[in-house]
Parts: sequence; C-alpha cells; structure tokens
Amino acid sequence: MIRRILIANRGEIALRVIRACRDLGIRAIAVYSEADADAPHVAAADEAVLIGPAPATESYLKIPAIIDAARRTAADAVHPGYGFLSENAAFAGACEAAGIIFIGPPAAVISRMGSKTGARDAVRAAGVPVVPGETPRSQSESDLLDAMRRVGYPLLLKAASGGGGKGMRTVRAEAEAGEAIGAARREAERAFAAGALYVERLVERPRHIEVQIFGDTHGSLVHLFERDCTLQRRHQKVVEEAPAPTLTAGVRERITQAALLAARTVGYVNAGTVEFLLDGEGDQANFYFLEMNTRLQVEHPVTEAVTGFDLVHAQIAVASGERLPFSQADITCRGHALECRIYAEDSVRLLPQAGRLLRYREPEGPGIRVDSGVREGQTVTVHYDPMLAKLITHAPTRDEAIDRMLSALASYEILGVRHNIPFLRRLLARPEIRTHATHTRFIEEHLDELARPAPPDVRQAAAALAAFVVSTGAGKVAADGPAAGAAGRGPVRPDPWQSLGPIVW
Amino acid sequence: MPIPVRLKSDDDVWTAEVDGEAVHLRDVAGTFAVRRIAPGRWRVESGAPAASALDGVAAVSGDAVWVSLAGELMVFDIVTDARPARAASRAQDALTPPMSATVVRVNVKPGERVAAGDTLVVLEAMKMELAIRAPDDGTVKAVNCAVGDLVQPGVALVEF
Repeated sequence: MIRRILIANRGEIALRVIRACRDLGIRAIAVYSEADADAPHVAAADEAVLIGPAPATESYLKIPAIIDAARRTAADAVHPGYGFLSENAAFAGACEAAGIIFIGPPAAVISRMGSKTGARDAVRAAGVPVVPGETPRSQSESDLLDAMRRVGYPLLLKAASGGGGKGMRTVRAEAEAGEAIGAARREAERAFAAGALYVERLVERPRHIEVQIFGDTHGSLVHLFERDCTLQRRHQKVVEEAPAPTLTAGVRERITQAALLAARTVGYVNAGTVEFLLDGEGDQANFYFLEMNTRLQVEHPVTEAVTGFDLVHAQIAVASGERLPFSQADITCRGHALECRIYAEDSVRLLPQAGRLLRYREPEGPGIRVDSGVREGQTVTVHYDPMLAKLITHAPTRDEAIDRMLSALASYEILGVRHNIPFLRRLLARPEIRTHATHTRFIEEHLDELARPAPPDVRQAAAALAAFVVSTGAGKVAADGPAAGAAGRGPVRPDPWQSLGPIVW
Repeated sequence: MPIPVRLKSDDDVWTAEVDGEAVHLRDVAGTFAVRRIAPGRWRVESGAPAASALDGVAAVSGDAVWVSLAGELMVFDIVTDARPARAASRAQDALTPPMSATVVRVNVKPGERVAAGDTLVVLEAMKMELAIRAPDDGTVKAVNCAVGDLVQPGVALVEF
C-alpha cells in the first residue's frame, strides 16, 4: 500500500503526478532546487524538500540527496517522472536498497533496456526487427570511422546510453564524421556521464511510431495502441498524436504485437514505450525497433485521451503490487488526440529563451487539456528543459483535433518569454499535416517556411497596439509582479482535466 | 494632442502617433483603432486596405513591449532620444549568444580566415549545443571568449 509518494522531478510532470496522488488520496512530496523554491510544483505538493542548488547535477540528478529526502519524509515510493533519473538503473536500485518502491520497472530491466545495444540485441534475438547498426567495442575515432563505413552513410551517431536526442547526430558523409563524433561524445558525456557511441543506418523519410505497453507483477502485459511522433526537430518531438494516422489495421496488429514481444522478452513491468521507425506505406510498410523507454513518456496524455485510462493511476497501482486496472479487451481507441509541446523557444531563430512570464493564460474548452509547469509571474531559467507546457486536444476525428489545436494555440496567452506557438501554428496549418505527407525530417526540410516572422498586417496591428499601450501607460508590469490589471497570479492547476470540459460527442 | 511613440522590433522601426484610441503608423495607410475589451486585452481594428479586427494581449516591462495578436508574438523596444534605435546589423546579431550560455569550444583564432557558415564557437545552454557560425566570409579580428566562459546576449563572441 502506497500512502506517500516523493516525486523526483519538477515542472509539468511533477504537477501531473501530484494530481494523480490527490485522486488516490496519497500524500505528494515534492523536491526542488534553489532555483525552483517558487515553482508551482512546490506549492502544489503536500510537502516539499530542498535538495540542492540550481544545476541539475547537484539537485534533480543527485541520487543521495533524493534518497535522503525520501527517507526524511518517510516516503513509501518515488515517482521519477521523465528525464532526470527516470531511466537511471542506479537510482532505481538505490530506491530498492533503501526499501522505497520505485514507480517504474525493476532496476535490472532499466539497465538492460537503457543500453541501446543491449536492448537491440535482446529484442532482435526474440525476433523483433531492428535497423542495422553497432556499438564499436573500441570507441577510438578510427574504430568509430570503420564502424561508420561498415554501417554505411547516411547514418546516425547516438549516445549508447541515453535518449531525448541528446548526443545524437546525423552524418551524411565521411567528411562530417570527425566533428560529429566529437559533438555527440561531448553531449553524451554531459547528459549521461557516458561517452560511448552507437552507429546506426539512417532510414530516410520514416515515420516515428511508438507503442504504449503496460505490465504488472501478476503476468499481465497489454498495449494501449500507438502514438505517432513523426513531427520532430533535432530529434526532439514537437507534435504527437494518437492513433497513428497512416497505420493500416494489419500493420497496427503487427507493430503492437512486436512491442508486446519486446516487452515480454525483458520481463517488463509498469508503463513503457517501444519506439519504432515506420518505413513505407500501406500494408507493405516495414517497421524497425528503435529503443525502449522505460518510463512514462512526455506524450502519454494523447494515449490517456483516446483510451480514457489514467496511466499514472495505473503506474501507482502496479507499483503497489496490484493487478493492472484494465485488460486488453477493456482498451479501445476513441477519437483522435494531438499534443503540442509549448517551448520557451523563439519561433524564428528557434533558440531556447529565458525570462519572466509577464502574462500567462491557458486555453480552455471542450476537448482541451493543458499540462503545464509554470504560472504567471514566474521566471523561466536557463537551468532546465525549456518546455513550458503541453497542449492536448481531443476530438472525434483527426481534422477536428487539428482545428481545435489551432484555435487553442491562438488563444494561448504567453508574454515575457518568446515561445514556439507561432511556429506550431504555421506547422499545423501546412496541407501536408492533413494528408500525412510528413516524415521525421519534415520540419528540418521546411524550416525556411515555418520559422518566419508574423505576416505584415499582424506586425502593423501589433505595432499599433504596442504604441497605444506605451502612450497610455496601460499593460505596465511591476518589476516583481504580473501584468497590471491581471487578476492576481495565474492559476496553479494540479488538475488539468478541469479544463477538458464536457465530452461533446 | 497626438502622442508620438517610436518602437523597434526585430526587423522594423515604427514611428507612431497616438490620438486617444486612434493610432497612425508612418508609411502605413489608414488608421488603427484600439479598444480595451478586458484587463490586459485589446481589439485592434484596421480600416485599410481591408477592414479587420484582431484581438490580442499586451504587457510593458521596462523598455520592452510584448504583444500577442492572432496567435503571433511580437516584442518591441521603446525608442527614446536617450536610447536611439541601434542599427545593429544582422551580421553582428549572428555573432552574439542568443541567451546566457557556456562556451564549450572555440574553433578560431585572430587572423584566421573563415568562410560563411563555418562554426566559430560552440555554446551550451539548456542541455543543447548551439553553434555560432560565420555570417560571411572574412578574417577574424578578435575572439572575445574562452572555453568555460559564461557569455551573455549582446556581446559579440567573435569580431571581424
């Protein structure tokens, strides 16, 4: 029985887990760095423990500090969220050793699937298709270059342990190889404290399809259908959706069965995601195992929207030793859901931004969910990931979900930090989005058309409004408060379902 | 009595005259009418060339004016005689860090010839590597940073 959960994370995912704790009558304990003393997840939790200074390596990534916080607050369990220590086998092991339940798979499974090579070898042996590639035993530049020649260009260089696009480089020709090896290795060392690189054939113009799986300790293993995360930039997902719009029933059956096979092979328990590349179209499409993410994904809300199940509730139930709250026959897919990641990232130069949120108001309405980790008046710092929020829309059809997303993006009010909402609107307005003529490099290939300033008529109207507020003194923001006329601070919203509204079909 | 306001945005300099709710922009036909419709929220109506009405929000913080209108975001700097609009060239902008960042690599030395697009300096911020590239062919005059430095926007890392 879990009564007290320590959430070893920050931002929107910490608030997401706190909401699940509230639903289940569990006490939620937050941890925070010195930079986050004022952060919404600290205010929303029942208790909060300061674990160190701003740099993540001295706080959110510091295993002894988190274990110590869990001990001091008598937590029964730790939820790692995503990122940070969520796929760190040593952390899962340290929790187990301290008698604290780690809400996720066993440490041995994390470590097996955490190595891209280990994961690939394990699932290939079981009969799951994989993309050709290798991790050279010697990681010298010349041995890496030999391996790259064997695999063939174009190829991908990846951190052998890690994910989220950190330490990943596309190499199109040998001339680029030297610089790419150096950059990938440095990023890998900084992000994962391990510089080993994996060399993999690049499948051109694929779609990214991932299957949500869930296992319990009683031998049940189910899938909750798939997500399509094809729209990416620099290997970071930008827009995700469920179900995948291009899968035929035959391929859906094969890919979900392959995901279950991969999970069963390693004795998977709790929530996990098996990622595939989809090559080609129709019933003839091929798919290749990419990697397994042994955690809750950022984009889990689209699966929650189309299946109706709360994945964090299920994670806590399974970690408590209970049976999965759903069987395969219970899981159906209803309507279509889309998620946009709202980043503090300039829409033209596409660079991360810091600053104070002078105004922050989320869209609301039927079929709209916002999972956010910020509020009006808060300062977005350079210390952590620049994601501000996730905007999820759900509708009976894909076209309606896209329409709903476009209007929700237009009514999202964020001032004080440059963000990617204009970019997301330009992206979703492209005709290729409706016709599925996209692939994982679509954004990169259309960057010139997507990363553009506002059209002239909007720029002029904005200049007129700016001149008006300057001349009248309206809209002035105090040095330490939100915009004048704002009704106090923006809402801390541990319950994003509040804004989902009634189901309308 | 119309109030003059001068603003600078990424690519443009704006000279406006505000008379009550009416705003006229130099070199832009017609007049804009601005009405407050809620706290911090306004409607901008334009008569020409085609009538349109856009709703948006705005906030002023220090010298910066933030406007979100029709799903677009614009940031303006207030220009005064004491603080003239600097004609910062694109080339100069390209050589300054976009945000606080740490220098992880410096590829060039003073006197070195570089081609447009060459990576001069590699920065790291928010766990991502960012490359500062040469905006044009040229010869490096000075390098103003070293590996490990924390650098700020507005300072050119490399000079030509």
